[in-house]
Amino acid sequence: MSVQAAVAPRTAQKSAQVVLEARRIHKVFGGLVAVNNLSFTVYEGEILAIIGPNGAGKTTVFNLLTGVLPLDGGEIIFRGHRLNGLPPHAIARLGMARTFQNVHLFDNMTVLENVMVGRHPRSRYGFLEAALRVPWARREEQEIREHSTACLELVGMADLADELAGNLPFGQQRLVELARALATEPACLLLDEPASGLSHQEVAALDALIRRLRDEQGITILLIEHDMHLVMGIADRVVVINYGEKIAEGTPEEVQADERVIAAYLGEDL
Amino acid sequence: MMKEPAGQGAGGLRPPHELEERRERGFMSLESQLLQYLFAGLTLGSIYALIALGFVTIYNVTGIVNFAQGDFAMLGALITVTLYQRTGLFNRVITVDLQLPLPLAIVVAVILTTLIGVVLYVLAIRPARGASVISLIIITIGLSIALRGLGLIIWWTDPYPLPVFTPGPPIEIAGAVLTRQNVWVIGTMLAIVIGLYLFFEHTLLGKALRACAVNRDAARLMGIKADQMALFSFALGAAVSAIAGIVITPSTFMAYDSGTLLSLKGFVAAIMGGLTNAPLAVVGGLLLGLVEAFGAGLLSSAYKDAFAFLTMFVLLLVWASGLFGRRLVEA
Amino acid sequence: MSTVNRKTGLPGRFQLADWITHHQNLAAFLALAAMLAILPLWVTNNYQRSILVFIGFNTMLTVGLSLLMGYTGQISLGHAVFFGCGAYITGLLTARYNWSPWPAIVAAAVLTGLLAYLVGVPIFKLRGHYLAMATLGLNIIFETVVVTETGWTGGSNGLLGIPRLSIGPWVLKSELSYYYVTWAMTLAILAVSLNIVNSRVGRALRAIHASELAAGTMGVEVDAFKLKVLTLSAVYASLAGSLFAFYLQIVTPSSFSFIFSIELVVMVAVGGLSSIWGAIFGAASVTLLGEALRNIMPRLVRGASAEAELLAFGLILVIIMIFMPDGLTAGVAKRLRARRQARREAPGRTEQSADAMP
Repeated sequence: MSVQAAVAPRTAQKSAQVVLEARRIHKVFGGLVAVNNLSFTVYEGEILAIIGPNGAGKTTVFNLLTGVLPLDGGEIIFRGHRLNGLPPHAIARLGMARTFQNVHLFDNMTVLENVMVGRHPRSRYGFLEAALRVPWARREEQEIREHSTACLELVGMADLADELAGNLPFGQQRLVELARALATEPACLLLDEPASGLSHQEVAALDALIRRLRDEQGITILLIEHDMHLVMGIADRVVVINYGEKIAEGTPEEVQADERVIAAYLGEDL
Repeated sequence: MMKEPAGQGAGGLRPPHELEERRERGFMSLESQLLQYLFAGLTLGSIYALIALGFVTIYNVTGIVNFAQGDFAMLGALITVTLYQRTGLFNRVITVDLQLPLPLAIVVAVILTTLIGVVLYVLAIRPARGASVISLIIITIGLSIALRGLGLIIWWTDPYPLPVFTPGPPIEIAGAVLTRQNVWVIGTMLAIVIGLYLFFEHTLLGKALRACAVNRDAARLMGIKADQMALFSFALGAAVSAIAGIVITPSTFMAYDSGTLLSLKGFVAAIMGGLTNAPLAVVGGLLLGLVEAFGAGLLSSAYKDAFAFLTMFVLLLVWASGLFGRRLVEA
Repeated sequence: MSTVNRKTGLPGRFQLADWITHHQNLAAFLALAAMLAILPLWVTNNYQRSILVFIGFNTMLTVGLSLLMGYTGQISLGHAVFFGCGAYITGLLTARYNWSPWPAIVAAAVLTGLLAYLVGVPIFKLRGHYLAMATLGLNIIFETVVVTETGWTGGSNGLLGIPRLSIGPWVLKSELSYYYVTWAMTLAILAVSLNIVNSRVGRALRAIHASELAAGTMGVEVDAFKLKVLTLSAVYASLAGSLFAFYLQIVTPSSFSFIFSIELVVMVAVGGLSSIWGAIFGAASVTLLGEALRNIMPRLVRGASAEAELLAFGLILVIIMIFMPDGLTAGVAKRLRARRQARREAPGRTEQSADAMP
């Protein structure tokens, strides 16, 4: 089965269709406002980068979007669904997947098994069917295995399928986590600092991979990144956050020239 | 299935005999009864507070919950008994007849128990640093069970008494009775609490321990050896528990299995302080003692242990879904 | 099952070796079943057969606890509660209310499962130490209730007068019959558990253990799975408890004791926290160790009997968790694998490899 056929490509073109919208989302930790009435829109098929100084609240935004943290205010609309109060697994089933800044692989399982867990929201059989080894469950298991293998091939990690995930070097773990997120068949993929800790070569490969995902699979990509070369090269639009607030939004060039952005980054390397 | 010698349930402290005697003697006015429960509760609570302090000390410095905390109390008490009076050990195979004076016996017992705590740290805890949470939990449970087993082998199932520290008539207050031993217990608790406070606030070693608790890496950069601190925290925890066990034994005898319930209840008290806040743990211990005394007196003495755990459940569940939410619950 | 001979590429005979490699679990299962079926031919002593029956009970319990603790990573120090529930409910229904045995077994399983579910909803909000203590506290509460409510449970003296198990018109009286019934049920539980573990469900459980956060974001319904695995393990325990009640015809509070819960943890630890096969090994070895201690101790130390068990189990727990946290079999297997790996990685030194091995 070819990679293309296995991962069911969708038409890939930037449209004006809104896939994800954050409306005045708000999050407070104790006395600290981590995300302050933040609003932004993500269009289908685009690559949106979220940047900002350290501690600006970017990962908190991801945690709010994926349901890991409950909202203290505002709403999130994803593909027409209101995400407020939904648990993470429901949001995953709706088509939002993510990777983590500090890779959260299941190190008690092999690489392939990790990706197969990603297939969970697209499969159904449960305890009873598993216990009795019902035929349709076995067919589903076969599909899970094939699809997961295809995802691994897409990121170039297929020959390490039977390695224990915890034994891999960091860059490869990153890729496995990406394959795992892809296995959920996401409409929207959230990448949390995917380039951090990677070598130049690996970042270039990542750049190409992200483009492929958008171009061939039609996946919308939301990217938290500090690596400005990657951001400038790959992002269609950029949202800049500082102290939990949006301070700028636009194309990479517009944002780069924005005074408030420069001020926020003063003292940081751009 | 493993069978412990019959007659032992979950162990724990037997009810203070003053309370039972008093009840038997007949009529007691309601106010007196309530006051009596208050005294009993404060006494029990002092013990729970001390065990809780041991938990907090060790947890703060090492991040480990030492399930064997209550068993140190058992060891301290039973070793004191063995040193002080003629005792038949190993099911009467060996008889120890040292008959040391009580104060000396107590001091030696506390030292020995502290040493045991240190040895356990070196043999079982230190090699396992960095293991998973489940592994560490199972290890300290294993230690607790091993100590309990050791206690059973050495001292069999009998509950052992100690004499009251200062014999004499109890203090009568408004129809209720405060025995001298009760005063010793509460007084010891206060002394230790104050002593620990002074130690942590005003001595270099105490501050070093606190530094480890707050930020182990920074402490290490300052030249504080985390391992030494961990060892010392175990020693301190064992010592405090031993003293607690010794001081309560004259009122409620100590047996090989008393440690388990003490551990559990001390833990309940400690979680009232989030396992990290010592003053709250002390308050928690006292509150728990009061809940138990009033529950046993007013509702049902058979279920007195259950009250402690019901309290624990309510606390844990309220906090798990409440304000302290995540922080408290992710161990 | 391939009918093509791998070497020649031509259709050939069914290759046993290949089949075994591709169906390891099934092969091992069948081998185990066969061995258990004929074991009584060698083990003819009733006392020894009763030990095998107890190993069966303990295996049922350990498999369930392994699913809960090993695979899903939820520590439970109160598993004996479900065992005791199964035993007492079955005992009550048959001894007091004259139910037939199998409906009683099913009713006990359903009720115990329900109890597990109800307990699980609040208790799984907790993690780590708090969860461990909460389960221990639950165990002690149950023990206290059972000992106190003598009207229902017979208190410390226990529930007496439980009839023998019967299958249809046949009443089971011999050790041998209980041996077969117990192990039949144990094998069924083994089969179910193996199937679950090697499936999407098993992966989900292990994912929860490794990282609840990541598991949830990958679509695993974390809370629902925890509850389901708890309920399943409780049902296993209840079934074991029911059979136990019929076997001994009496149930006492010791079947609830938290010491028994800890003993089960020892079995899981020895067998390997996340290994279904390890569960059998753990149950068997710990049960046998207990029996050995009980028989040997009185000969070594005058008047002693069961006490050494406690100490021994405590020490075993500590030692295993420090040196072989994946269990005895896995620990040894790991060492063997490491040796083989080291040998493989030094191909140029094959002549010296035997001596050069660390």
